[in-house]
Amino acid sequence: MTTLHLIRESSSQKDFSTYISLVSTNDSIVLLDDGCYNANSHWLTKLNFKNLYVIERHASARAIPLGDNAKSITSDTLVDLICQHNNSITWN
Amino acid sequence: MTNTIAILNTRAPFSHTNAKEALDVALITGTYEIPTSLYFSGDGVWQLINNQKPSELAVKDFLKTFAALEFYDIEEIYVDKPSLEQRGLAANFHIDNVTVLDELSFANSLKQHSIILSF
Amino acid sequence: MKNIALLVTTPPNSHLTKTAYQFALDVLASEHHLIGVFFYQQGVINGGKYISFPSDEVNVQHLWQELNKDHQLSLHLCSTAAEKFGLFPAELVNPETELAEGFSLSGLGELAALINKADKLVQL
Repeated sequence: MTTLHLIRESSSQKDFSTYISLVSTNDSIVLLDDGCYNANSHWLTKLNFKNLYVIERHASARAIPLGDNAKSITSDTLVDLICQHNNSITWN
Repeated sequence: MTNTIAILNTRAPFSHTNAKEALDVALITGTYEIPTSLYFSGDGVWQLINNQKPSELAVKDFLKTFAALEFYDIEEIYVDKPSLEQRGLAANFHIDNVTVLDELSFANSLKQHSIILSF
Repeated sequence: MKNIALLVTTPPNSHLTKTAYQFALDVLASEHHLIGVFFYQQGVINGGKYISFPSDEVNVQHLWQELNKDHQLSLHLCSTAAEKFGLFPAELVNPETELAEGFSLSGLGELAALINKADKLVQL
């Protein structure tokens, strides 16, 4: 089972603690909207998961530099990722 | 393949409308015989704590509706243990049939479902 | 090919709603099938007849309406939420006349129907 985690806000806007414990090694994370602000956050780099995807336009619009750990994607890739994973959790 | 739905509740019951709106979704998916399970973590655990008095806030007591869940065949109700512990709460709930799971079991159980909605 | 349903909970003035719209557009352009959009919570405001956008801003309601027109995409507004947010007077016999064109009123049962049909339900 693999889960795709969709993060749309920065961790200071929302308490993520309840969602963080749901991330496991085969899961992947997508940063979109204000979620992109987490791209270089310590809490995120400490987690074990498979891939970190960032919607490139959402990050560049916010002047967020992306490190080697992040894979830049276009928005349509999100559709593929949704289909490739068993389920998705929006960090609401 | 039939979908099963997990509804993840992460917010306390009163100041946000999420708790009530999540419950409304559960009652409908239950009515439509979609296997529905409820998960509570973070401040969401407050939704199940016993002895709340919404009437003192002039809030309609929608928590009473939880007692009807079994009539909708919603019998899988899970609570994240660390969320209780972090809040100094005992497993003292206003409904029966609640299962408290450790962090890993909670995550594994939740992620079995094909559809997960968070509120 | 997968059947995908979309749950939108953010109002039209939120930038997040444009991301949900973009996802809908991307599904429609893909090999997959977008079987419907269900607007819940503040999302129902997207279908309000009297909302207005500054002329120099993107009108996301028009964008949804285009998807409805060009792709026959169903835009379901949760009726209870729509009533709560004042989209139409509660006593109105034909409340659909008070919605923006292209949107329809549905009970949460419609969300359940989408869940029954969908391979994936995405909450944006």
